[in-house]
Amino acid sequence: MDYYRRDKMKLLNKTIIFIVIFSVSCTSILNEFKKQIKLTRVKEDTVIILKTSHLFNEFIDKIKYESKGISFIDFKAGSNELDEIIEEIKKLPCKTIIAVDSPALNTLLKKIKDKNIVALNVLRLNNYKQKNLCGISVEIPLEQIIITYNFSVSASTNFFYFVNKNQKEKFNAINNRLKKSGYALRTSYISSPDDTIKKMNLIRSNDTVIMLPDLTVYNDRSFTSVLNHCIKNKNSFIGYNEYFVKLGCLFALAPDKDAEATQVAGIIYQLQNGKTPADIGIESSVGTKMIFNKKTADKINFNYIEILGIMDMIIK
Amino acid sequence: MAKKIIVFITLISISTRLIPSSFIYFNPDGDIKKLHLINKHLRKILAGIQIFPVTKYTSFLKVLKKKNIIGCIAPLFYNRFIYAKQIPNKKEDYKKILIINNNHKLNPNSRIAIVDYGPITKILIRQKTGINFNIVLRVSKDVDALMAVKFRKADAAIIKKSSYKKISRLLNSFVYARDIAYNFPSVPMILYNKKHRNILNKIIMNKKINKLIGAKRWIITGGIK
Repeated sequence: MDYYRRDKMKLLNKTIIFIVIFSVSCTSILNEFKKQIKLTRVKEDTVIILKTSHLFNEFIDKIKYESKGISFIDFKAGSNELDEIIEEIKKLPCKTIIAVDSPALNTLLKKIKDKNIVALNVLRLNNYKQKNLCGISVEIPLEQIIITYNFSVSASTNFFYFVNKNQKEKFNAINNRLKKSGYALRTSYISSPDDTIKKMNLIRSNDTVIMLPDLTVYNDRSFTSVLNHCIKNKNSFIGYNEYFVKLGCLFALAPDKDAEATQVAGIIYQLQNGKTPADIGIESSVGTKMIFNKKTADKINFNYIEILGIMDMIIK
Repeated sequence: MAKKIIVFITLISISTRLIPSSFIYFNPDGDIKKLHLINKHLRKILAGIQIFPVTKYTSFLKVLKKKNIIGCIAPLFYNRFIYAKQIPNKKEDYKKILIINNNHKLNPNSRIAIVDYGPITKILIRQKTGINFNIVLRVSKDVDALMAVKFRKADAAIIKKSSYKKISRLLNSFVYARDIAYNFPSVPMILYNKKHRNILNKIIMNKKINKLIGAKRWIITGGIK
């Protein structure tokens, strides 16, 4: 009986401690934010930066450096904790908020409507539709990937890619534009990742295969089978980002954060000089970095000696 | 105790001497595809010296923080080196053109994209265009600057004439640009520490290196204040 009571007491103690810690932590985040507001005299020009991790600290420092003369409130909180400071943000006179990652953006969306929101590092930013939202998307346009690859990596003009059936119109228009410039683009429209595996044989020997960020086209199984097919038939496979190059793709084009910082500074300047988020819209990153896999290049007999110098990152 | 201190000091002096001296090659306007060849020949000439061929201004800054830098080939940014000016073989290589979006009139609030030359970038643009741009998008490659104009991320771009010729041929119909020719030379300099004058001579006299860099001859101009 005694043991039972002791256990009960222990449980009670634990819950009390948990509640106390939780309440203290809740108040502390609000207090921290209020402290920062006190330290910086918030004006209309002041820009609030919201983030949920330290991953982008260097990038934020660059933005601050590029936009001289502007005061910033740089605030980090857990994704669940950001909700608590929204009421406080609403009271501030500042007009611009930068959401550095998607949890920060998700807390701001639909809750703040009278301030400009600049979203960064968010996937499929075009899907978010709100009047006061502008920003830089992570995706790089297909045309830019093709032209940059053709200009700096290989003279090949034959490209092939898998795309979902629903996006037929959009990609037909892109193909027609590129065909006028002398590129030969072939597209296979599919509806599921299994279709990708079935239609792999459509890839010709001189094709450069491009991977588009679409979960209805690529899952783990279809990606590895396309990759193995490309290596076996000595096709170049352009991945979507650095991660896929590490997995075995030959090349990828990723946003360059140094150049993006100058772009963000430009957006802040435009917003503070009379332009609205609707004028700016959602852009892709102005700078790109090239990532190259030397190991895959050896496997597919790709001549890379001349281009190694221009690569920003080489995976050996 | 005294022995220990002496041993400690000698160890420190040995370790500082063990750090290999380094030489940087940074020429954003040069032919980047020849970078590996330049690296190879510089290694042959400057045996025992670390060579850092870099293409981006940010990575140039990172390498500059290293100890024991004895010199570099780069556009003129710093005054802590003595320099020799390069007379390029083909001046056309260093010519730039200004590309503007159709129907856009340039003003200080227009966005301009250019390869990053560091702190002198803004000054160079102001000198050559006569406009003090408030928004300068600094990229690492000419292709990025041109793509910025194509996708309306920038209103104008300054790029190399040679790369414009190559890319515009590929872009064909969707280059919304009218070009205004500007003489925009950013001729590379060879900068070196006074103590290592022999290294400067080695590079200047080497025919292969000069051919790869595109230098006709060099003028040693002394120190910069």
